[in-house]
Amino acid sequence: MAASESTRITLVSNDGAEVHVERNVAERSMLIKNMMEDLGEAAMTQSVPIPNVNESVLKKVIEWCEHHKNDPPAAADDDSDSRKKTTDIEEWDQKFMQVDQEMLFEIILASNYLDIKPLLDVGCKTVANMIKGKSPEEIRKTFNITNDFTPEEEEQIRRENEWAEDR
Amino acid sequence: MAYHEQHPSSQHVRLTDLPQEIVLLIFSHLNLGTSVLLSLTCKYLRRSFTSLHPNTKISLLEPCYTPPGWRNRQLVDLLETWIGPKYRRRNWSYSDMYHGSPSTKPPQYLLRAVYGDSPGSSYIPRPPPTEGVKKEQVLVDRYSDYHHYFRTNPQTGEKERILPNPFNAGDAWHMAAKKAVIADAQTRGSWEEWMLAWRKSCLFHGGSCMGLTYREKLEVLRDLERKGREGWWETGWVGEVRGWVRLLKRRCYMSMQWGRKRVDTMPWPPSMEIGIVGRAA
Repeated sequence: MAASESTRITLVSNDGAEVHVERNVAERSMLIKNMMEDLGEAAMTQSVPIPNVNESVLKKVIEWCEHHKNDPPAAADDDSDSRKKTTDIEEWDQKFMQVDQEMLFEIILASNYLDIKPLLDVGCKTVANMIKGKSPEEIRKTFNITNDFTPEEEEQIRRENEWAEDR
Repeated sequence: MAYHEQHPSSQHVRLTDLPQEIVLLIFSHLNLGTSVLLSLTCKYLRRSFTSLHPNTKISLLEPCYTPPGWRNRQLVDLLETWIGPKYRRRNWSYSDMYHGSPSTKPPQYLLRAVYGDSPGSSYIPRPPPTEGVKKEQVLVDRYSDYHHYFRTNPQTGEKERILPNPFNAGDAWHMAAKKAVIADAQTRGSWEEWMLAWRKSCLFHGGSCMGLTYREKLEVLRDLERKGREGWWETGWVGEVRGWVRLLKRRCYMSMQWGRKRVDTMPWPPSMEIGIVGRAA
């Protein structure tokens, strides 16, 4: 274990930047962990390509992995509703996620690709918190979403749910 | 306001560019009310929502998540701008008089052109109630009856509503509902059972609804009595005596009921109840 902690590996982002990182930090990513296991000793000498993530996002993800490298593994009931329904985020993660929206979504996409479930959760919770207390128009404005519903489609939603009485 | 809220996404990656598996994960961190708000922003998010909640009718009284320190809010609070100025909210205090689950409440938004601009209430004295106010109270009564009456389907064993759904049916609902109430008499053992079942409904005692008239109730009574008499003849003199005992019991029952304010089923003394022609309620 001690040897594994001191071992450093090299990740290569899609824009060709090399990022050196401790193996146990990188292995917060299940994708990298499985890759390491498959490659064996060869992984120590070769750089690992991360084709879907650019340098700035990769560094940000590694920063999160560094901070959480000693976190216990996720509990068996990780996918329970109680975990999903809470949108509480610990303070460090809240500060970590204070980035512009593009970076926030890039982190979410990268954590999904690298299979880092806790980071993906934090990202999705951050988005969920941004939606709280907002009307559909305010959500559109926050996330720069274009309303592509026709008036007839909106009428259909009102009717299906019996929200408005017309007669 | 959080940093990322002050810095909306550029043209590169937006919420709607995320794959559906991630969008579904975001939905999983929201409760139903807040999920609806997100789903109403665009078709892509609507499709994701409906894949999670297919064929789900969402009540406007569904609670929504709010940031810490905010008062609790429901879907109806956050949908006012989406629903548009053509509609106004139904009177809150009046609707709260009706208990039960949120799904039993009438629609929370009313078309201003039909129901007027001011919320109606029978509890706040204001002279005199407008047409819109009266219509709103009739609407609440319709839904109260609709959600109250069930019967068990003998084939499936499942409970089903007796009255038609009043949603967007307008005044035409009363005619269909009255037919259903009259037809229901055929499934009851006796006139008393039918009356006891329906006497608390707005349709039966009138109220703000266009309920059953005296004449219509009397028709049901006559119909049931005629069928009963036919049955007694078929079963011989024992059946006939039994039938007359039932008739006496009914008369006694109505004597006791008569004079009570809410029961206007038989507004005349029992001795006059049968054979009256040409008098409507």
